[in-house]
Amino acid sequence: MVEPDTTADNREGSADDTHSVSQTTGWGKPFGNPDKIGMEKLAFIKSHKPFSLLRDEHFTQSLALDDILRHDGRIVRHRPGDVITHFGDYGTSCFLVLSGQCRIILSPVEKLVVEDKKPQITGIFSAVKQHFRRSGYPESRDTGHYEKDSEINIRESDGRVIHVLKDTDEIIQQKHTRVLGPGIFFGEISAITRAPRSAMIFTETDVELYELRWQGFRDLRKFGIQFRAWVDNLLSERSMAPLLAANPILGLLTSEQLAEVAAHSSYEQFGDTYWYRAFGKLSDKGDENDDETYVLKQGAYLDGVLLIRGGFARVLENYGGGERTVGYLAENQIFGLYNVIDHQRDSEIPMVSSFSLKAIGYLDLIRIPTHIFLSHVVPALVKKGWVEDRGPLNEIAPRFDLAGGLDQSLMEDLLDKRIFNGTATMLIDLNRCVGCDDCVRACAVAHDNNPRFVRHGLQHANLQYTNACMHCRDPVCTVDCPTGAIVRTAGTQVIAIDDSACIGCGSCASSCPYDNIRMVEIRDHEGRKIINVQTGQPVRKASKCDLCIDQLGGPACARACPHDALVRIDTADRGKLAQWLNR
Amino acid sequence: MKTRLPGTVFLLVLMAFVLAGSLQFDAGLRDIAIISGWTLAILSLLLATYNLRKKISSVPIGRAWYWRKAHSFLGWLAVVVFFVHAGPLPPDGQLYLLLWLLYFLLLVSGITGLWLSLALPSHIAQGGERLQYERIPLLREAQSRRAEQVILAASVGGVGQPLMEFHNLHLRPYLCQFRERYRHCVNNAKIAGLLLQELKNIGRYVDSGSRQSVAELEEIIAKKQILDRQYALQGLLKKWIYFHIALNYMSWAFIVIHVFASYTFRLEYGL
Repeated sequence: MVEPDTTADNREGSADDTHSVSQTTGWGKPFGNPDKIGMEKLAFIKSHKPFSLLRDEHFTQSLALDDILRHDGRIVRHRPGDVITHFGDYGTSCFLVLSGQCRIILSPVEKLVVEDKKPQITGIFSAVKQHFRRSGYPESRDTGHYEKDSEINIRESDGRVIHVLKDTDEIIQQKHTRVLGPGIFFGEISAITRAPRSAMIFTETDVELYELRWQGFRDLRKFGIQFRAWVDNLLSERSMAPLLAANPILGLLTSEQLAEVAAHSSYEQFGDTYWYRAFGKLSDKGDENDDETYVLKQGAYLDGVLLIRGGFARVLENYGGGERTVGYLAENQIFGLYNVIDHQRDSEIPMVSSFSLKAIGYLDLIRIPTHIFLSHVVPALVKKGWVEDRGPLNEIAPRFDLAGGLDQSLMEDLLDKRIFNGTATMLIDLNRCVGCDDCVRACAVAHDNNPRFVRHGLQHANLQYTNACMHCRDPVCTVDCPTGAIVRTAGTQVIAIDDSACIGCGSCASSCPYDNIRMVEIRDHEGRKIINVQTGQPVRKASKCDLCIDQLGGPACARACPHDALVRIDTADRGKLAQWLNR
Repeated sequence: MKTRLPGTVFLLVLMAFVLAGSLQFDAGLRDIAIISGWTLAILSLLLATYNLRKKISSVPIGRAWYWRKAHSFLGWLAVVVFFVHAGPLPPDGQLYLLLWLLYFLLLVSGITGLWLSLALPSHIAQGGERLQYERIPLLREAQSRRAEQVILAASVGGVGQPLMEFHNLHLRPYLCQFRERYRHCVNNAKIAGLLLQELKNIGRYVDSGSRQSVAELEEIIAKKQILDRQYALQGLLKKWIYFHIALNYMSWAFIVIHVFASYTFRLEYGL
């Protein structure tokens, strides 16, 4: 890269001395081809809700409405049977049907499987049999079942990988579905909250869709007042009340009270949803944390109690000339509760935040206005007796007492390196580990002779964050997967790869900041490399820990450690972590 | 210590109980050899199942951690039963002597392994990065190559002669070999220390431009020392088990012969 020369002499030099570079504008790379969204299509889009609520005059000249719709949107065409959204997948865009007909599966709500991921080992006998039936070759696969078990085919269109249902008629007959015709808008909840898709939508006929990515959706929400109100109302109607009700504190409210709280609460986003792109690879990182944004500073007026909806927050207190971390908050935890309660008890205590709050990477939160919290939630807490004996408040709204039993530098490190993201992080106590590799061998036995982790990783003192999938709360590996092959298994925290749906693109491996996904070339049971007929290249698949989801007795690695040196642990749970470290 | 204390106390009481019971039994002029012999055989069998547990990790039969604790517990018990059965001194007779020695070494290797696995892990990395054992030879090679590059760079212009001589005579042999294999276990860095001393002395004969090379070579020597130490300690932790298991298999062969011979020739039990 050429460094721009900014010395006075050079600035005064001739034009020939200058070095021209194209500077990236705020617009960045368009989502699709803006030229394909002509005036006619734009008019159609703008005539249907919620886009009809937008007014050109509310936008600036540099960020005009039409430009946003063109730049952050694209036209996608689908054939009958194409899957538009999978249940459970992470979505970052929303859709408007331009022509044709889609269907949404309302019930049963489930992900159509490409490969059956039910536990294969169902008894002691089959576990013993598994030991003796291991393949003699690395990464061998039975490719025959890729076709056989699948309810879905895969095809490519315009560089995109599209899942195609094999028999849409059967699905329409067997499942409760609803038609989504021209002018219908869908997918907004996932686009704005980064929540997994709540339903599967597929095409019944040839369909043309307008797809708007979340960045554009965010900008429209920022400038379009009515649009924002409509979206917020939609969020409030469809997801705010259920989200609030899922919290044990707010779950104490009656449905009327909850609706009232939901109506007054607002949804806010901080940081960057794609934090992992800026974060890069953990192994290349220093200790700097330049992507953390303040939500609130210590001593600031607390106008609302904050419920964490997604992402993570660092709680800090002023210390010396800087700030030190006293805790962190994850999904469904509350910030500011005790300030509000203390203020209600004694009005002399100012309604200010005792700590600073920072978004780590990205943070979605719901702000419940203080007066609403005081009038609706606090009485319910008092009635339940939780204000006095605290009940489950310790977990939902933890008191921040420095590291909570953890070494302070360890807690800072867990946050700096984003290790707290893991729900089943593999930690190895190097004061106990003798390097016998029994954990690796056990993992290999459980996975047809292929270990799914490397007993190596970054360290903090004598604690190793081993390179095994952590099954993150925020599984960024799933976001860019074009086929939905890597997903959170329904009802669990386990992130698993659907081997037959994986096309070996490597997007999950490059997204994972922790280097916990490897791309492997697969073989058949005779040890021959499997070659892609079209490209002539070896077929690659993503490979990572699946937490022995199909095994008896849980993760084989932890069971196999003879020195109690290895644990699979939720690193956000400071209590459990401290207990394990001080065992 | 807080988790080990109750178990240790219980084990000591049990060992004392076994010892006292055997003395009492012996004082009654009853033949203790049959009971202690079969007890030892059963204990040996139970101890051997731990290796089986490690082999069939896919079967959910309890965490290996509990198996290892049971293995240690039974191992200590086997020490007492062994001396009750075979006596504290080596017996006469070549077969018995061999069996006594094998079993004695088996117990000693087990105790040594237990001590190593408790004492060494925290000292391997000494606060630095724990390296993968299999990768250490590669890393060592990399350091050797790096040293050659440093020397080559320093030799440009003909002012690096002292460094080249030092490299040829002392540094290359040091970097190419895994040195002081056993001394690392007691944190001995004699050769590395001598090399650093020599290098410091060479610092007098190099120009200011080569001082950076000297500093780099110092760093390489220090890294090699760390690599060797980690390799030695990790190797020790990995290899003692082979010795222990080999002794186990050998002693089993002799136990079978011993039982067969004892019953066949109706000899008195007790080695």
